[in-house]
Amino acid sequence: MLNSEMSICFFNVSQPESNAHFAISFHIGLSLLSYSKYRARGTLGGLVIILIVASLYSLSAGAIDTSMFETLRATAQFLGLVPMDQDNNSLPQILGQIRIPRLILAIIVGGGLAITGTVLQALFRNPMADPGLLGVSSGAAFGAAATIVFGVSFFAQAFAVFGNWLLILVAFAGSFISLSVVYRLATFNRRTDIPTMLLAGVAVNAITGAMIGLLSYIASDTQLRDLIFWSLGSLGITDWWKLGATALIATPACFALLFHARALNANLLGESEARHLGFDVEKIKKRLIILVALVVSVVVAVSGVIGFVGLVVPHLLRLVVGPDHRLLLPASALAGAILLIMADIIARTIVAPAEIPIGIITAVLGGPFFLGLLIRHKRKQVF
Amino acid sequence: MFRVKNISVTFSHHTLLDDFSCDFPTGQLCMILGPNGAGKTTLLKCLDGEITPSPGVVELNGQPLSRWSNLELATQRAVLPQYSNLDFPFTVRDVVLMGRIPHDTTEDENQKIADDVLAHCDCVHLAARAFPTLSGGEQQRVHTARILAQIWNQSNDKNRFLLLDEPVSALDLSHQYSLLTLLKQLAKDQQIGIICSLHNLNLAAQFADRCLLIDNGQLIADGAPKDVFSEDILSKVFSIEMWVNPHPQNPDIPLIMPKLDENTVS
Repeated sequence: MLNSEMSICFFNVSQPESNAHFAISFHIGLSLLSYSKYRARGTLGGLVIILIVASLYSLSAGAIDTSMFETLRATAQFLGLVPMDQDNNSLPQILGQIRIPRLILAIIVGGGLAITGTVLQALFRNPMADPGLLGVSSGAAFGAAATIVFGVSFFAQAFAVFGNWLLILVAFAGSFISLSVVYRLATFNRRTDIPTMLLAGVAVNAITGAMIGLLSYIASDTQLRDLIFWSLGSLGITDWWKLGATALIATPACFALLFHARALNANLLGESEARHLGFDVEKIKKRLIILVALVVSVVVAVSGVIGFVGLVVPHLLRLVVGPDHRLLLPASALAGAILLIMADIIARTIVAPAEIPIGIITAVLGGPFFLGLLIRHKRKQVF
Repeated sequence: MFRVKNISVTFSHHTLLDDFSCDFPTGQLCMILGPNGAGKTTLLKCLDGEITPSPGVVELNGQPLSRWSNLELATQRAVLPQYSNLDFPFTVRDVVLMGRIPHDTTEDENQKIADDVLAHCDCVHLAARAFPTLSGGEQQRVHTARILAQIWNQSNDKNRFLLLDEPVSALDLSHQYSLLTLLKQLAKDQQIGIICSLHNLNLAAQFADRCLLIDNGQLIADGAPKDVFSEDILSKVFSIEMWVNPHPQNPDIPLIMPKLDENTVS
């Protein structure tokens, strides 16, 4: 009883926020893109429509299959817009407690990963960057894993002060440190070297992988289950608190990233060039690194490591909308959300009633894509 | 007015600029000449703020560069680096429009300025092409168009400056001449101060209002081309015997030619 009350309460907070997410990012894209207003409006509008359809489909699919109409009706019932049926209340319950939170999480995680991938590619001035490949995600996963395993012993004092926020705080520290290290290593003399960047990511991933392995060796059985969950990635929401915290942190941070579109465009010309165009490059760079680490860390803290979304989405979108971040950033957020909703539908239905961790689905799709990019890069020396 | 006061730059025990002082007024096309490693790029980097000299100070309109915000500087000073890379498929027009980022002009004005500079840099036919597909010379022309767009036709009477580091290095002969003709015109008509490093002495002699000859981080000669280009000085600075003759079309323009080695001649 308490659980369902809580869920209703949270739901009312989260739902308008995620609606605002579409509306405002749509609006920003339009106002900044006056020169190709119609193309921008068409692209973002199309993505919003696909997102809505994918969301409805995602709400209908699952162990109990329902039609879209039933889904809409049950959602309205859950929201209290339509009175409940006398005899059968299970569908609104399933939607409200399982499918809707999961959908919101997919939107936040997919949008967050895609937008941070886009920002990282602009920051590193090359299209091979991705939170997973660069070790930003695994840095956060290590932070989260360390908090789980040492939460009661080493961190007891901190736990008493920060409570549940400690997990996100430590995950943030992990991703911030990873990203700073990779950036320092890969960027020299204001130029970024692709092989060094990828190798630095490999090194960070190897180190955090070993640390997580060590943690799982000393972890108890319950902790071990949580650790496996981090490393595979899953949208199976464990508690409302995490979803609320993720929405509260990731959504504003993603919006803040949207406002750096022009700086990111200029940064693609080079750091000196961006400075000569009037940007305070050092300050903006620091701000972007913090925002990216923030989004990635909360996303990883709640859903584990879901790879390749940040790599694949901006690549595909650049082919459609071009490299201008004023359109690319909001479009990436929408497309990332769509991609993760679809991946989640596959994860939930392919072996129903069991479920494959979603990180496995994105890796199976994204790994070959990454290989294809490398082959293309080798052939043409361009992306 | 750009003013360089007693600046020195040392980099791991090498003196790149040694107690260098110079003024650069607006409305003048000033060429910086000298052998490789003389300090041409270092001087330009001091002017664009990339390198902070110590000791010494660089002033723009009487204010040290450090007091200016990047945005203020961007509205009145544009910089073309020696080498600039862009791997992402922006169209040529998009790249040129990036030059308008620091300004709050309307989109229509920006598009008009882009049209103007694309025409002046002979890039109109490239406007819809993706930048990474262009040749090196075409890319250099597009970057030049971008920095021209940055300081183009401003209604206010700010002092505007263009800093260009070897802007013709990748250009064919006819584009070299058309770019320098354009720069000379901009200096005269729009009162822009243009400071440009160059390797081709004859181009400098034909277009510069003023030439700075530097060697080993020091100013060797400063003045109109016909005063700076003497056989003695040039031969000494470039360590190769030079002939300086009057240009057949205009005796005030020196024509510079290195003497051939005896073995090569026979």
